[in-house]
Amino acid sequence: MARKKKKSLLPILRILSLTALAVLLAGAVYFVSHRLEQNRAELLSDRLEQLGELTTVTQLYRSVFYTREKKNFIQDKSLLFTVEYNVEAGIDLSEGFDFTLNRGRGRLILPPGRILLVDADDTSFRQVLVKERFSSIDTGDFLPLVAEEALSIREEALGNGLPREAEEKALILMKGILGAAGLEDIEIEFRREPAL
Amino acid sequence: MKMLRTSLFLAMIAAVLILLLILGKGLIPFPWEAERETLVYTSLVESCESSLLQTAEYSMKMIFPYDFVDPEDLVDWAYLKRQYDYLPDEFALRASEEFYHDRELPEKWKYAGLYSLCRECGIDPAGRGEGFIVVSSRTRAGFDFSETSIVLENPEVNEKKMDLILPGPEITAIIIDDRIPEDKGYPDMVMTPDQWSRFITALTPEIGAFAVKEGILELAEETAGFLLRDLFEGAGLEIRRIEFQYESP
Repeated sequence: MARKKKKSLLPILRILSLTALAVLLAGAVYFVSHRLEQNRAELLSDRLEQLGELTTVTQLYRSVFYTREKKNFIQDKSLLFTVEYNVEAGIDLSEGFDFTLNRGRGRLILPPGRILLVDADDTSFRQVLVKERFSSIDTGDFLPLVAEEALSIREEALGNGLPREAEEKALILMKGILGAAGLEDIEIEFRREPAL
Repeated sequence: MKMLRTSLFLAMIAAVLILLLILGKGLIPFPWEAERETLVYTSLVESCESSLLQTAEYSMKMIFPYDFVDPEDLVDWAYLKRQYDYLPDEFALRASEEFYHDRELPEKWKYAGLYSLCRECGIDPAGRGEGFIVVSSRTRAGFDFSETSIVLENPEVNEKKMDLILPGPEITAIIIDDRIPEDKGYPDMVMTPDQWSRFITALTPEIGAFAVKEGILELAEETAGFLLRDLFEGAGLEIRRIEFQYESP
């Protein structure tokens, strides 16, 4: 009696799995490229705004950073670099000001002195030492450190009384300008925010 | 003898436990343990007076290199890649206008400078085109606002009407924003601080040019007009005319 030859399912399964893999791969490529396009579209946002910042004091800080990261026995990297920070303080006129005249005497109330900007000058980065052992330096190794230090510098500038210094300079500046317009008798004050 | 063995065994167990405790508390680091050390030293270098009135700001996010290509242009990145890889010495020369008699870059070389900067940043637009850097920036414009820079003219004596002549606004700052939480999803680029600095230096004029094209100087004039009219008119002066005087190039 002749034995009936059994038909194997293996080739069909192989074709099916290869097709599924190809579909998955195509889907993944489409998803990644679509996501990239979407990200790019979300990012293209421009904004033109009005500003009224009168900068009366500028300061320059220099920071020296040293960072070393040892990931394991083999991977090790270290970096020594310097960055300059621009600090600007003054008054923000867009917060509103009041000018009143009473019997020829002017009274100008200006917004309080503020630190208007603490910004690392990205063109001032100078690397002194770079050591890479089976590991590469990337922007994640230094940009977050630079951003973090800007907060410390703001605190330090506040502690050193920079807003008050900015107010003193603003007072001299405004008196000079209004004096040039023939307004000599002026009292200038800074608005004080109520303590919370 | 048995007593000695037991004592030795207990001493060994105690030693192992103490060792584990010391290592566990991190008093002695494992040689394979990851370590990170960061030191920062900051000092105040300079402090000076200023009298800058900044009246407009243009914020934008740019995607390098794609936002630096005119939408009408079709760049042959593959051609630039071949030139860059096979003629590295000649590439910088050919990417410069000085190389050509008419001081004009041929169409194929228009973006050679951009391509070169891309490669330095580890991006190859001729490849799969997935590498990009997101740069968030703020460009500010304003002018010097001091007794010496502004002119108040009173054409009719004893009348409280004035003409105000101010310096023409210019770009006062280009601020590259620090990394913000929403940028966290973007990959870090393999770049050193020197490379990052060169990258930003090359990008800065382009960012300024974008802001000027979008009308930052016109807005700076307009805002300055509002602010100063408010200030002087509060003081009982009428500003008849505000003129901005730009320095001739």
